[in-house]
Amino acid sequence: MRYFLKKFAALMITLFIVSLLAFLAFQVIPGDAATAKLGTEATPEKLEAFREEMGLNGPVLPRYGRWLGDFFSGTMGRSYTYDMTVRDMLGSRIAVTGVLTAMSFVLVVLIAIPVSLLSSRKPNGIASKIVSAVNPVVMAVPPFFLGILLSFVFGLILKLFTPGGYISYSESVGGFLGYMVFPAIAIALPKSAMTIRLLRAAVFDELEKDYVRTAFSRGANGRRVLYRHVLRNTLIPLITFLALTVADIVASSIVVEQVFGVPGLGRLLVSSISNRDFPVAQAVIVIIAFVVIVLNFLSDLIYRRVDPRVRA
Amino acid sequence: MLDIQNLTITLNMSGDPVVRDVSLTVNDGEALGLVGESGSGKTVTALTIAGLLPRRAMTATGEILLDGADLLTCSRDALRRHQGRDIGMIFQEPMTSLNPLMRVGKQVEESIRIHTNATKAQRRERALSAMAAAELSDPEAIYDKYPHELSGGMRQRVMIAAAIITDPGLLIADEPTTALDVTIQAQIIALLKRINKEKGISILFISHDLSVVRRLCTRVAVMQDGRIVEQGDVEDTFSNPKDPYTQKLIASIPQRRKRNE
Amino acid sequence: MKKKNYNLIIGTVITALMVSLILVGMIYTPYAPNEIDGMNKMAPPSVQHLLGTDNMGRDIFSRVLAGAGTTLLIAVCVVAIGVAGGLLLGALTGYFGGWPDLILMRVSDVLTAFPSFLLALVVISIAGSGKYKVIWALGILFIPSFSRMIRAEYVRCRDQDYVRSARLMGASHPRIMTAHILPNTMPVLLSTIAIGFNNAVLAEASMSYLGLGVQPPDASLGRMLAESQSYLFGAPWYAISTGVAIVLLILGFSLLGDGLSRRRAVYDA
Repeated sequence: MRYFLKKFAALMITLFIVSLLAFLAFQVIPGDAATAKLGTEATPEKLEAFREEMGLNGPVLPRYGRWLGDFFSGTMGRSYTYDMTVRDMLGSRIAVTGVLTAMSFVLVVLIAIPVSLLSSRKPNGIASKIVSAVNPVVMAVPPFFLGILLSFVFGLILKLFTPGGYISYSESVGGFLGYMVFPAIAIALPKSAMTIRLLRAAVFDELEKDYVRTAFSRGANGRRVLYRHVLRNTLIPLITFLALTVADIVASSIVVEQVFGVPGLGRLLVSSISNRDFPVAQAVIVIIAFVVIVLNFLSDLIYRRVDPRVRA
Repeated sequence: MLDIQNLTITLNMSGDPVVRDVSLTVNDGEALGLVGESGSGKTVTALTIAGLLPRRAMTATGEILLDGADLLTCSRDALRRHQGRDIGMIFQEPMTSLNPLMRVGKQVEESIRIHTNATKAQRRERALSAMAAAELSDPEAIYDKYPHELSGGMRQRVMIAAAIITDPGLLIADEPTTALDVTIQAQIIALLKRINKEKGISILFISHDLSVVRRLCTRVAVMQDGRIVEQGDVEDTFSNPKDPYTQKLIASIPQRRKRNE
Repeated sequence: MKKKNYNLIIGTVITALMVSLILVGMIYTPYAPNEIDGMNKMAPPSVQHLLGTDNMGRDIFSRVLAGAGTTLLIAVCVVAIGVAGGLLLGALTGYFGGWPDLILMRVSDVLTAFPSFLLALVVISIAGSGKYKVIWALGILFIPSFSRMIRAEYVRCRDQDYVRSARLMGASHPRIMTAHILPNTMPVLLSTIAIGFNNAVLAEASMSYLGLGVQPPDASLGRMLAESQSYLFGAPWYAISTGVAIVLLILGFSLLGDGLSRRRAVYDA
């Protein structure tokens, strides 16, 4: 319990620091947002009016405080580029990216775990050799290229979907999911390859250990040894890796959303950066950062629950 | 119980045979010591008897007869049936030889789980009685513990319990006391002796430590460079070693010196 | 029978191939990468144009070479910065420990959880895009992961016997760190560098694809890939050649890194 509280406090502090850093990065460092938006030709009065309106005057800390308040209360600030609150701009994008991330994660688990286990039972078997050969290649394909290939093969040739023709879930849930499958696969395949590599390496490592020999000496067959003994010993590195993977999935989705024209956080981030619309960019980064940090915290907790040696 | 005839083993990786024309016998209810230095081939012999050396990684000729059944030529399934049920094995390092993430009781039960259809309750009962036979002081409490929560001596007792739970005919012990403190060593040796006498389980005791072998075993075989150079009754061999290598081994045992009163 | 280190062999072959092609391409390409040929737009691969032409009649093969060259250059610079910073930080904190070490560990703990791509985006969004900004942004962001690796190695080595004897003989700290420990970190260092290339290429390509990285007229595989997407139906070879070039670069380095890390097993006591 004490450990949990300690870690929770650390979590809160980290979140605060990250949000402060993001604030500094986006609101303070870039310099005068008024000139950036209105241009150098604008009159001093207009510039001043803009600054007043956006609350850009005054010392840093109160501005941060106000931003924090905005963030949690509702509006999350106003966009520089569009006449909307950041909140409105975020809209349903969080949900869309959330679904994409969740689908990708599920796919990674569904692909990586069976492939790893089935191919590592016999380290010198054919399945194992095929996986060893194919895996690095799949890992080397960037998600956005894979997305383009998928668009080409499944979209243009097989006509299973229309690339770029995003279907929102308010139109049709089935259509939405059916469309999202493809970006999810583009993200999931390379990540599964990485997970497979990790899991197989972990399994092969464990198979060298003494307790495996003991299990065989009692008459256990290969399957029993793998599933009842080795698997639980590989869970620990697996869990930490999967937590990191979610963060990676989120990062990949930024690019993949662009490929498929999915209106998620990623596309919003990219466009807001291009437009130098800092409040929006900042909000997106903070949201993503929060998710990543919380996930790490959770995986740390799970890790401690699973490994009895650490519990002591 | 165990009859090995002309066993020669060559590992695929190396060139020369590591075990050459070895013949030895462990009679029913007997404790045979297999002595030699590292590289003598004694561990390879033990692992081959226990079926733990993958068949495709070696070439073996000769016979290993366990109560008549040849372990070298029987099917893989048949071999697995012998493992754990008719042959039990304990190893040198009890910490790494136990699964760190599995409770000790479950590990003791494992052979029963594999070879019989006993229910959960039956398994637990048999595990507890095996642990008691291995002289663990509070089997019920220890049953739920993890290996890292136990001392070295207790872990070795757990391994022994796990090995004898099926009442095997043969127990192979590969240097089980080398990694233990001297006082614990003595206890484990005494335990093994008791198991040998009371349960009639034959023991093949592998060690490089002659003095330990002397305390436990009735017969001894000495291995050098893959060959058996001397085999016979323990006391006879100690008092009258015929082979020069055996003589050297005996001479190198540190003698206890009497204190001057 | 020693097992062949296929990863190392294939990785070296692929990387060597790509690098030599690129180096040659810096001096000579079949066509100038930006040379427009209005008559020959969207031509499929042929003898004159090995990978076909794009929507403006430019030779794709030459463009791919040029783009790969830019990507490789950026990757080299990024890794150089990362390794330099990482070595400095990692060796010092790993060898000496103390409170700078604790601070570094905490900071890098938080940072490594974060996909560096995101952080790079943040930097780019503030500083603006372009080749040099990308190099510095990525380079600095790679320092934490390099320094982590190197620090771990220095921690492992500093308590070894050969270090102790060197101290006894009167060797100074800097000497121990460079002449004694550094060679022993080579296997891990080399494979980390290879993986660093792997990640650098991926990050640069991703950023350029988004339009936030290298800007025209600098060639870039990522940008080309983005352009090629619109012509996917009519001229798929454009996208495919560009993408495959990226894959080969990444694959070469990742296999190399894997192969090198396998060799480290020989070094371990």
